[in-house]
Amino acid sequence: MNFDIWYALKYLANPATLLCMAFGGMFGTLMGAIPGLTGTLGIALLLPFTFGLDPTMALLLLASVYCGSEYGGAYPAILINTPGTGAAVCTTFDGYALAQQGKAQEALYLSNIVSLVGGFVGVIALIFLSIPLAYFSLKFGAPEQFWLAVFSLTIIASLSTGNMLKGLIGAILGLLLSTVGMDPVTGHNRFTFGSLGLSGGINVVAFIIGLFTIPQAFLLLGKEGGESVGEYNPRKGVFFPMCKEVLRRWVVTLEACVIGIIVGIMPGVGGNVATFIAYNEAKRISKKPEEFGKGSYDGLIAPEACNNAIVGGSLIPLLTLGIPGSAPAAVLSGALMIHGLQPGFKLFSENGNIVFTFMIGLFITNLIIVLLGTPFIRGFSKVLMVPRKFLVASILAMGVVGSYAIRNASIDVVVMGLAGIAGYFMIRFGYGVAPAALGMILGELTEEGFKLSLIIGSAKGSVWAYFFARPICIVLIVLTVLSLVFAFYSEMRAKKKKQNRNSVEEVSR
Amino acid sequence: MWFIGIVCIFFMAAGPIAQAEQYPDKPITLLTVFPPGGGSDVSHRTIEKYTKGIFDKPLVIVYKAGAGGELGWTELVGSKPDGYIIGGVDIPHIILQPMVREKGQTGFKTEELLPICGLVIDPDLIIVHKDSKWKNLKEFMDDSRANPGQITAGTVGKFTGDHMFLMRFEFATGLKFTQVPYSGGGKAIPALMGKQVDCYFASANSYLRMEDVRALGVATEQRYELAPDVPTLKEQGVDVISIKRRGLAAPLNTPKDRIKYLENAIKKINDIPEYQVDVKKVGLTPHFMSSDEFGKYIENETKNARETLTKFGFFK
Repeated sequence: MNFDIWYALKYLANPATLLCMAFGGMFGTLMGAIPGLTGTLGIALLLPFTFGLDPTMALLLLASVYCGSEYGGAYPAILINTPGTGAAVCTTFDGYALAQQGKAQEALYLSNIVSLVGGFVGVIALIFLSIPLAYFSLKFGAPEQFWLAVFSLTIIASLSTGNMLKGLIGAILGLLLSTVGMDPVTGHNRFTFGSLGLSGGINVVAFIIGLFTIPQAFLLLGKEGGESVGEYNPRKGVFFPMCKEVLRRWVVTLEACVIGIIVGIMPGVGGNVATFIAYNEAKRISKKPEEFGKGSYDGLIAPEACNNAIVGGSLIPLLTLGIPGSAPAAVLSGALMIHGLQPGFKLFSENGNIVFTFMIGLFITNLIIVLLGTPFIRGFSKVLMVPRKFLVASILAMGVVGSYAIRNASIDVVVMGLAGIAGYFMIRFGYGVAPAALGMILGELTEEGFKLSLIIGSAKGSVWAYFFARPICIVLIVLTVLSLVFAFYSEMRAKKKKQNRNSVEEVSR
Repeated sequence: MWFIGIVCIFFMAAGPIAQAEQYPDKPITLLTVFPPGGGSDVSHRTIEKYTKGIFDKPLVIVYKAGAGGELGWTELVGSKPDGYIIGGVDIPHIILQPMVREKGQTGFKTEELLPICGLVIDPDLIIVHKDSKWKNLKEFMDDSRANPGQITAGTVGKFTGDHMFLMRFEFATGLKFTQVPYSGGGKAIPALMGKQVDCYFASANSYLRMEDVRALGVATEQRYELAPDVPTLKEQGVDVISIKRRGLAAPLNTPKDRIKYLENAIKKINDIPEYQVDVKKVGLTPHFMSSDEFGKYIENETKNARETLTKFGFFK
């Protein structure tokens, strides 16, 4: 790569550049913070405004939107238990629990700080490791995709410790619903009842919005709703103690970043899966796994560090191979081409200055977003002061607008509503909504990986060898088995503890 | 709430406003039926870039992706035919989808799309990895003749242009491959680059952005301008012509004069040299076709596709 470091620094010191990045970051944060309005949409909306800008500026503006959206997704997840993006689903588990304990500010700052770390690690990987990582991503074929999905399915067990059967039922429901629509391999329609809207499948984002927002709105309306939202208690001096918390938990943070990068570079896997894996791994290495879901800092750090590391990760195959690793990266690749830049290795040799300035700019963008995030946190925290009836109305309105905005389809609003009603009952009867969301996310990945592997395997003579004898597959199979063993072990332990507690209670009675 | 405002403006730009004498008196919606960032999006955005001074009102790009474009096209044919909504169409997609659609399933018909103009072409070609043992088309064909069905061929999905190309090639040569239908170029490209499949029946557009690959032959009459080193299939003795073409269409009863306006406007954009350069840069070739020409082309391709599908037993 040939580049001039002075060119990059001079370019980035230009106030117009900084302003552009700040605007992009803020816009992205807002897009991320509203359920349904995603980074992808944000980039697409701003794209026509970049025609007049030079390519570097345009790229920085759009990439800032992408970075910002990953920060923004955490705000509603923590404050009102409503993930702003698919990748923020896991943030709700511990973030919202913290908010309920009156620690909303701590949670928000913590999420911002680890997001910064995640963003930085992602960009470092992008700068120093992009070429080896890009080649690694090419080794990832259909059977690997299948086994990664199977491995991710084992997360259900740990999402529902102590209640594995109900978790499984939820996940199977999600998996089943993901089969609605066109078969990814044969192109035939299934379970569409002749409706064209359904032949595109049930939209995952609309499904998740419904599953999380609607029950939340109902719960806030109920009698017990008083405990559902945390108190608003602004304090000073939260930022630095939270930095210390992150430093103390550097293992979890780094591990989550690495998972984000690796899953981020896989073509077509997506950030939603990565955050689930990161959350699960954090729980597994934690000394206090029982605190997960009840307001554990580790449980918040993992998904948040991970979803920002994905940004760098998904840009790796885009810039090196011309293949976007995620939906927002796909829009970025379109933007590159419209500005006359062909993504791929040639980009480095022919436009080294642009690429280098862009990468350094990503660092600065992350910093700007965190700096400007402080007033955002103050502003957003005030949501907790909003009277409950207004909050419920606006949550529902956001759910409707957001689910429609995904692809301008009214069927998605219906899906959102139905998923919401189902989600409410699932929560009421202790099934939880997370396993169903995970099942839905993994459904197509599993199915496509499996069917394509069958096709290739049988053409090559041995389906068995194709599934079981590839090196990455073996690693993933071993991980799956370990994950299952661990899950059953902790399930037993949880049961035993319950029995012990019961017997202690009996004794003390 | 300003951001909601912006979003609303973007999505409601095509609201129902009373029609005035002058067309167009409000922005025209251009429906893109594939997700943002895809090939369709890029070619529409390139037009959008040059609308200033040619279109009297701006062009607003609205995405409606899903089911390989079927959702968007069905929405397009159901829209008010007032010239304020047009959409990008891809050949052979708009021909194949209604043809292979299952009974009882609703959806657009090819005849319900009124052609405005043809925009770009993208020829089909066969790609293998650089390390592949097949150095040329002959070796490739000899090997597949010896091992029928054992060679895996990536495509961007069942009943897509790539699949059509594969069928045409199979029919012309009598060879048999195992199709691996990936869900889009984003997966098919890395699959070939990572040697997950043996070959890829692809668009030139995909080929031009790939590294470490070799094209065995392109399915055009003459060599393709953007890849002049690639021999045609024809000069290697295989008579297969297969290209993808992208254009614009409107709902069926859109007034003739409005179609004419749009056709002329796009023609003007097509004649801008910078536009031509931009389109070639993204790996496509500008090839303007008038409304009539494009309509005839679609008719012809429909016949052609029906023949091919019949030969492969998709119609009973």
